[in-house]
Amino acid sequence: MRPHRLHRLTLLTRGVALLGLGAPAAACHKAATDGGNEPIHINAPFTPPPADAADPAAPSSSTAAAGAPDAGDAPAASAAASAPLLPRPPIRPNAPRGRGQGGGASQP
Amino acid sequence: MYTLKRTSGDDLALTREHEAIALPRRGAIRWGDFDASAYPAAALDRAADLWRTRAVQEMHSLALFTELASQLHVLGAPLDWSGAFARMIADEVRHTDLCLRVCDALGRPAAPSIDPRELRLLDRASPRAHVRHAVVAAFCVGETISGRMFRAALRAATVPLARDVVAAIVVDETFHAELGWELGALLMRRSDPSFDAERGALAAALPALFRHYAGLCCATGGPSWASRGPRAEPAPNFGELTYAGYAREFFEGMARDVVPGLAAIGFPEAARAFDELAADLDREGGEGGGSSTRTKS
Repeated sequence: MRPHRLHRLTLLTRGVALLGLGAPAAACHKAATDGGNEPIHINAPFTPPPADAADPAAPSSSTAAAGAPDAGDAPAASAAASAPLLPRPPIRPNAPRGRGQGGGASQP
Repeated sequence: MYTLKRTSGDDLALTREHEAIALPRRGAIRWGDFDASAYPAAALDRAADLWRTRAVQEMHSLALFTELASQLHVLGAPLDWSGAFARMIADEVRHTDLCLRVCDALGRPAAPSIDPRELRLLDRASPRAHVRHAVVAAFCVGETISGRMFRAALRAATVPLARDVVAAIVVDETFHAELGWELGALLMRRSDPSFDAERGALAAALPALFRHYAGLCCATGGPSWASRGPRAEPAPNFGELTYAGYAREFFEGMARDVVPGLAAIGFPEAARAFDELAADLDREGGEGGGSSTRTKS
C-alpha cells in the first residue's frame, strides 16, 4: 500500500467519530411510532394486539377485498418480526472454512 | 443444504432485472466467442472445478455483505454507507452469476450445495463491534487479498473468456478493497468509552484471524514454500494460479497492504501477529512438506 494512502487512512481514522455510530441498537425502534398511534411506515415493526383485546368483527367481503393487495404481506411481516433470535455459529467471513482458494479471500 | 441455482427458470421480471445487474460494470464478456471444443477435456474439468468453488465463495460474500448492510441502520451510519453496500451486494450477485455462467460455457453446469448455517455471522457484544470485526476480516484482509489474487489471475489467464470474466471481477474487487479500508478507518474512530476494550479484543484476535485466512488462501505451507514453483498454471489458463501462487499472493498482500493498512487505522499489533504467523507456518510447512504446483480448487 502506497505511503500517501496509508497517510490518508491514518487521518481518516483520527477524525471525529461519526454521529450516530455506536448508538444503542434498541433505540432504533423507538421513533417508529408516534404517541401510541399506529406506525405510519409500511415496514415499521409489528406490534401484536394485547392478549385480552376483544375479538375484532369478522371482516366483511368488502373490507377483505379492499385489503386484498396487502393480504400476502402482513402475515409474513408479523412472523418475521416476532420470530425468536437463533443462536449463531462462530464467525465465518465469506467462505466455508478450510475451502479457501484463489477465487478469493473475498471468500474467506 | 440447498442447491444454488442461477435463475428461477421462467420468463420473469425479476430474472430480467438480475441479468441487468449481472452485466459487467465496465467492458463486455464475449460469451458467444468461446468454443469449449477447442480445449482439452481435462483443462475444462479443472477450470469448471475452480469456477464452481469460486461461485460458492462469492455466494458467501454476498450473504456476508447483505447481513452487514442490515446492521448499518442500527448503527446510525450515514446514508452513503448504504449506497456503497448496495453496490457491494450487486457486485457479489454479479460475481456469483459470472462464476456459474463460466461453468455453463465450459459445458459443465454447476449446481453447488450451500449450507445456510455457514452463512451466518457471530453476534458480537455490540452491533458496532460486530460490524468492525466483520469489516476488518472480510474487507481489510479478505477483499484486499482477493483483489490481489484476481489481478494475478488476470495476468495468468490466456483464454479470452476467462480474461473477460476475471477483468469484470477485478473492477469490482478494486472498489471493495478501497471501500473496506475507508470503512475500517471510520469504524476505528474513538466513539465512546467502550472503544478501547473493543479495539483490544479485536487486536488480540488478529493472530487467529490471519491464520484463518492463511488456510483459506492455501498458504499454510509458509512463505518459504510459497516462493518455490510457478505462480500460475500453463496455457490454456482459465484464470488459475497454483497453490503456491495463491499462497504467494497472500503473503505479499499481507506484508504490503494488509499489515501496513491495519497499523494505519490503529492496529500496530498486526505486524507482530503476521511475522509470528509466517515464522510458525514456515516451521510447520517445513515439517509437513507438500506440492506447490497443484491448482487449488
